[in-house]
Amino acid sequence: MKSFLARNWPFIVIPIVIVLIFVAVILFMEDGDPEAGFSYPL
Amino acid sequence: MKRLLSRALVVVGVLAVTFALLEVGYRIVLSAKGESHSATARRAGYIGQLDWIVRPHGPIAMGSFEFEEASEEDLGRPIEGAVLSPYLGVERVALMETYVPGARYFETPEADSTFDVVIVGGSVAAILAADEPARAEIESVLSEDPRLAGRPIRIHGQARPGFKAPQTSILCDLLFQLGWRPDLIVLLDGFNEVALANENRRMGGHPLYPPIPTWAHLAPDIDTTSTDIDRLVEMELAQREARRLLERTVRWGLYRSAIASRLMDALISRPTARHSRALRDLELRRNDGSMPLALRGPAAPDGLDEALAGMIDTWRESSISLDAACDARGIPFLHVLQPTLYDPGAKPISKNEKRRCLISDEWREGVVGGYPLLREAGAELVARDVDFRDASRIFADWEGDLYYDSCHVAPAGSLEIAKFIAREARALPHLAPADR
Repeated sequence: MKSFLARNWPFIVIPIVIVLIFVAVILFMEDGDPEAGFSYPL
Repeated sequence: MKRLLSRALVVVGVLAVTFALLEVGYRIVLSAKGESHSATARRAGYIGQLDWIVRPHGPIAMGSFEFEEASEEDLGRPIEGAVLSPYLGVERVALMETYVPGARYFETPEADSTFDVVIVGGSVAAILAADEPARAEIESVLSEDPRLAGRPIRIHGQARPGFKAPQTSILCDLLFQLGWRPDLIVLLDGFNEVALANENRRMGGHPLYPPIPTWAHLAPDIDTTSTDIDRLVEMELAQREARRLLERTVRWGLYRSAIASRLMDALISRPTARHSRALRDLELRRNDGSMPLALRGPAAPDGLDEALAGMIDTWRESSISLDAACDARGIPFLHVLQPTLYDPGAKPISKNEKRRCLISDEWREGVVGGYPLLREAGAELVARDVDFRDASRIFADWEGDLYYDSCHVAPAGSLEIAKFIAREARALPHLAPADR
């Protein structure tokens, strides 16, 4: 297990970091206009 | 090669575990905040937004008008629009095309042996009339009535999103004059009469006129400026981007995952906000004392109280007119006041509804000030022998999520309203008059 981690750590850590950055960027880019929304003006 | 494959497997496995952990973690966060993830509610919310985008609302006509289309299979199919109508202000092409075939149908022996129910009103009525379980409920309850003697029940959805009094009574008159002879007219309304009428007022138009956002884009004498065109293009592009994202969310089933829904919400928020800002700028410009007379109508009343009184008078008089037009032809008429989320006491607002079902100031003002007056005017209608029923409190004890925006309910809510309509229709003393 230890040698597996030692050998493969970049393939474990990098995808996690990429996913977390991806999630953080999407959430950071959110535009929270309280009056926005596609809803029926009805 | 083998090493490459095993590393690829590691990456795939790590990605899967990361997403699974994010999903579990986010659900824990939601639950700690007293919220929950419901795939059905999320899907209904996305479909609701998509539904809005593909319909002809707001200054851009992009829409079609078949409520049945709100399914994955139908998303993105060709769209058809709305046109100006000399009688109704604005009319949906698909419904205009039912005028003549409908009138011909009422000349046939089939119509004589069928109990035809026409449902009119705004979008809540249109959604209900297209909802299969809601239709089945009305059909089933009415078919049990011995007065109908086993006649099959047929429901004709003639409600139009954005319609309000007096469009609804004018529409029925138009259908009658074309030759429509249904056996029952059901009018489900209330929200548009106060919320949209007040929006008209705040935009500088008359509350009595058709809701300005539903036909402003079709009116020929708008003095469109080049800046307006920029804003319209911005809105069009934002709608397209939002539509693409919403379609993917529904097609790929992303609404099933709490974290994926959250991320899609964040992505969709950008075009949504762009659209909102462009629309707001456009409305501000059009409100700047330059609204064309054809759109604006007579001078709007001063102040909310006077305007509300006028709105309620129109609603009541439209109901009396429709009742008289029905009565002249021996057609029973049932008028139902629809429930709405921001009418205080109408429903305990859930946390999800609070977050998702936003309402503009002008609609809230119309609903909060107008609904008590609608109930009072409803009592006057009853005193004048109009079969008016108040359904505005049917969700008063309904805990949990039901609304997916400020006025539209999920299918469970449509079914509940249909139960109310079916029960009240069956209780009408003149449901099947013998002298027709």
